[in-house]
Amino acid sequence: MANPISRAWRKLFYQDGGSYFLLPKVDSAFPDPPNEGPFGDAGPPVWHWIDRLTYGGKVATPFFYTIIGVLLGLLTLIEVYFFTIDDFFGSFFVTVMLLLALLKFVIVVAFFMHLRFDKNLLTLVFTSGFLIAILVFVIMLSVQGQIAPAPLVAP
Amino acid sequence: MAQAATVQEQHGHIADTNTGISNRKLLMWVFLASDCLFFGSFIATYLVYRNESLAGPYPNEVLDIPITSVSTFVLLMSSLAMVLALHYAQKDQLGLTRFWILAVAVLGAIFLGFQVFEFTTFVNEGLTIRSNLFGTTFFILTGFHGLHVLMGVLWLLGMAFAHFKGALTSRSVEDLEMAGLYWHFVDIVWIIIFTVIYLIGFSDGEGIETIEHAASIIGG
Repeated sequence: MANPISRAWRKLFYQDGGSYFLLPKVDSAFPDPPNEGPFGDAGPPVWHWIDRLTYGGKVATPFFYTIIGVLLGLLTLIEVYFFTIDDFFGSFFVTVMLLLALLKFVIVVAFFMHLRFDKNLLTLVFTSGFLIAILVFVIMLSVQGQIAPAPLVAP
Repeated sequence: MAQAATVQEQHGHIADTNTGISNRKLLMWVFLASDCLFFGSFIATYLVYRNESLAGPYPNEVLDIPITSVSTFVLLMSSLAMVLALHYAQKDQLGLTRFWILAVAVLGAIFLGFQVFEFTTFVNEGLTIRSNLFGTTFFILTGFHGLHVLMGVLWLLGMAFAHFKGALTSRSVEDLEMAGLYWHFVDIVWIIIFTVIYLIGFSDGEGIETIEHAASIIGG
């Protein structure tokens, strides 16, 4: 029995063994009927809903893309509304805003850029660049004392 | 090779490569990954110098959230138009493809118009690239993003022109997919910029360099 980390790794990055990215490698392997989706029974329920709309990611319809566009617009409205009540969130304001931005980022990359329906290699390529950028970002802020600011000292 | 030849990508292209992905598409994703570093560096620089400006104007004096929210919405909708253009191109519906490509270019141009308006307003209020650290980091970051949008608009207008000249072929679908990936990337970069600079950074004010300077602010 694999440990939880191995299972999570397999679900995230493998194209077999009930992973979230269970994409068929050949055309004949697509499910029939197609709206059963390429992800099988794996993944959270929302994937099944997306699979029905996109016929398993094979034929995403304009309706599906419009829903995603409306969702992005709503998330932007929510962001701006939260901005107007930033005192309500106190010190969590930055965290909440960054999470909302990350959600919009992932939605665009996954559905508009088709990464959710494409091959894993492309996800790995882009995620690698993004993670290196985040790493450089964190190191730079740490070195400059932005994450844990140094106390004010007279020169 | 036989396996590669049987691999069919999701959008109808058969890529005769070892990865099963067309080399152009793979290279575009590598480019986008490297562009993450490009913009990541500028955003990190902005954050490093956040609250460090010793002279105004400061973010809370010049940033206009309602206008930028509208321009953000315009850019998000241009992404929707882009994905619809690609969808209809894959369906060989050339009329709708042209319409949505032009819609993306127009929405991109509107976004650029908002940016020009914003930059002009800032300059009129005394914020230039040389005014303070906020001005320098802000104009470089958003300026390079605007330059990316401009490149995208020109790219799409070129494609639309080619389509009107009847140059749309099955290979053009992949061309449009490349342009689409680039355009969506420009969109996701703006999602981060809008949140970090405008919504989170709005409350940024005067920087504190030394205890004496802090005392002068408190005292005066």
